[in-house]
Amino acid sequence: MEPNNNWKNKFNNPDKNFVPSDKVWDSIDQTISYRRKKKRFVFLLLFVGLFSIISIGGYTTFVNSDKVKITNNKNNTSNTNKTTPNEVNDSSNKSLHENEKITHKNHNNKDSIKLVNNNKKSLFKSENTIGFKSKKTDNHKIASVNKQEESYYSKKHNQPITKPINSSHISFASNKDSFISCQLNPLGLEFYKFDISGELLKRKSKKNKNQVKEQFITWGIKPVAGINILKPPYKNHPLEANNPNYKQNIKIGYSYGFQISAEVTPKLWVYTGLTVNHYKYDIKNISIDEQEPLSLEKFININTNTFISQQMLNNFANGTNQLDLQYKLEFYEIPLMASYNILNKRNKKLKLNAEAGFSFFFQKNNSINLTNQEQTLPAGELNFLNKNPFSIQTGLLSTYPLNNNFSIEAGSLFKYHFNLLNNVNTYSINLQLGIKYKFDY
Amino acid sequence: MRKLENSYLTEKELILSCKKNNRKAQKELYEIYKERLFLVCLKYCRNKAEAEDNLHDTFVEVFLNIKKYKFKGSFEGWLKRIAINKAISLYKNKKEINVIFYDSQLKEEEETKLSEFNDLPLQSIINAIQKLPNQYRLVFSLYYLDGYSHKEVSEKLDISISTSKSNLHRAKIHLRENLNNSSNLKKAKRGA
Repeated sequence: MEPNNNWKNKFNNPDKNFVPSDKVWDSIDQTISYRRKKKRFVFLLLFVGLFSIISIGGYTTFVNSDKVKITNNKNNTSNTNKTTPNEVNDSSNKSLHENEKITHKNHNNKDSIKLVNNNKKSLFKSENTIGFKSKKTDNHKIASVNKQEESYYSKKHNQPITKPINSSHISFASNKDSFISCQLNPLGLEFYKFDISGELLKRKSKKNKNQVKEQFITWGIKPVAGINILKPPYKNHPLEANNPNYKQNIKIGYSYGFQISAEVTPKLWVYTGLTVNHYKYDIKNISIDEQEPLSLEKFININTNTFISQQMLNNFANGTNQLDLQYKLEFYEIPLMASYNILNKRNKKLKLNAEAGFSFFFQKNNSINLTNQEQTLPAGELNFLNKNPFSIQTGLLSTYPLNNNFSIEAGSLFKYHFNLLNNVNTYSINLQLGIKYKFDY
Repeated sequence: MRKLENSYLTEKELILSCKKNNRKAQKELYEIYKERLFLVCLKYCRNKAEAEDNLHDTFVEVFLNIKKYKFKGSFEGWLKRIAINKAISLYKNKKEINVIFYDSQLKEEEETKLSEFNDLPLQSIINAIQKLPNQYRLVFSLYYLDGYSHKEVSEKLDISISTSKSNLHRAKIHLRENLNNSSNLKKAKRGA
């Protein structure tokens, strides 16, 4: 270090002659308020996203599955009070023909009806009514406990025929029969018909799925490719700073990569992956003065490459009065997304999913080239590009299964980018196509 | 506890208030340190406008990260380090192509001392420093004005120690030229 460094002392003592202008504090104040608002907004969005995922997941896992609860009642003949009125026990493909009978039980002053067979399996439906449609007689048989009477709904007479209840009369029902629930309202009896075999099959498949889930997780792997449509930069946008001929044009980039997904519930999937996003901007026909030597300092917002000498610039500019500026920006993207099935019609294969989540970006390439008709010169890089921006996104995904393992998936995502450029937020629309391979592991 | 000038609060109380995002405390902190930090920014930046931008970025960074300050070491030193790092990140990769042009005119073997300019007003010194090419200015300010060693300068700027030494030497030669020119100009004006 230099001895007697008098300059150092001069700089270390505050000097009233060197004060920043008042607008500096105003600007600091504004920036901090904006950052805080942004931070709160991001936390709010994350909270809403997490809340939605937990709510949807919870609803799917607990509420939906409560509607039909599959239990093994082999030992619960003495515990009938524990069973719920809506409980349905699956007797697999066994007929409920034999030795079935309806019993009535009083608990908490409420009546319920229970259909029991010798294997101690029971089939419930309604709290106070149950019924079957007999294929032999084509009559609906209904038992109503409240009234302590049995009703036949006769097609011939088109009205219910009621007689005192006798459980032995309605003890026969096979899985070929229909299962009818009825409700008495001021307009008369309202019937709800269920096909027993259909109900049993449905519940069996649900039970099987639950059993499978205990042992395996269903995974999916999907190579994807897509295009990114970016919000057109506005006139004073930093990317347009060097553009003398501004026109509002949509900028399109492309992306490719892969996604790995896991099934949380049959309707809810989560996925992540790695995607490479390319964005390219061309600023065309920038006029240069042939009389003056070309200087990279003329271009705004660029960190220039140090190895470009004046000689190289002179050679490049020799005999040309126009040049183009090409921005090449590439990011790795790691998404964290949830995909929930919102439309899945039984006989239609096409499914529709709603998706939401966020992505982390990591800068892969940031380069700017000068080009004329003959040559390209690597000029430098954008100096305001954020290396690790972040986005939140939402969109729709449609799925069409090709077979049990493969499906074609096409989707669109609206992405809102935070700080892709320093202090500039923007959005993009991503359209992508992929083929998903599903497997259990 | 250090009592601050023009403030009823001690430095620690003010920092604690700033940690709670108290805007009045932030404004007070800014008022206390703005001149000292602005001088730091002026010697690392090319002009007043860029120095103001750097000061802005510094205080934004300070207020957003003040929770990380654990009262270890001088607070002013912490602020200055942030200001210097902000300036370095602004210019580190912005090497100017006309450096080559300057280099051809230099006599590297010339021994350079700046003590003869000690009596010059601060404004003249700042003007001369600001005219230096970016890397020369950064090396000179870090080493000569802020007391960093060549090893620390080389690490901060991603250059070798020998480059740091040679940049410092050349920066001094440039400064001498700039300062001589400005003092000659003043003399000529006085004579006229």
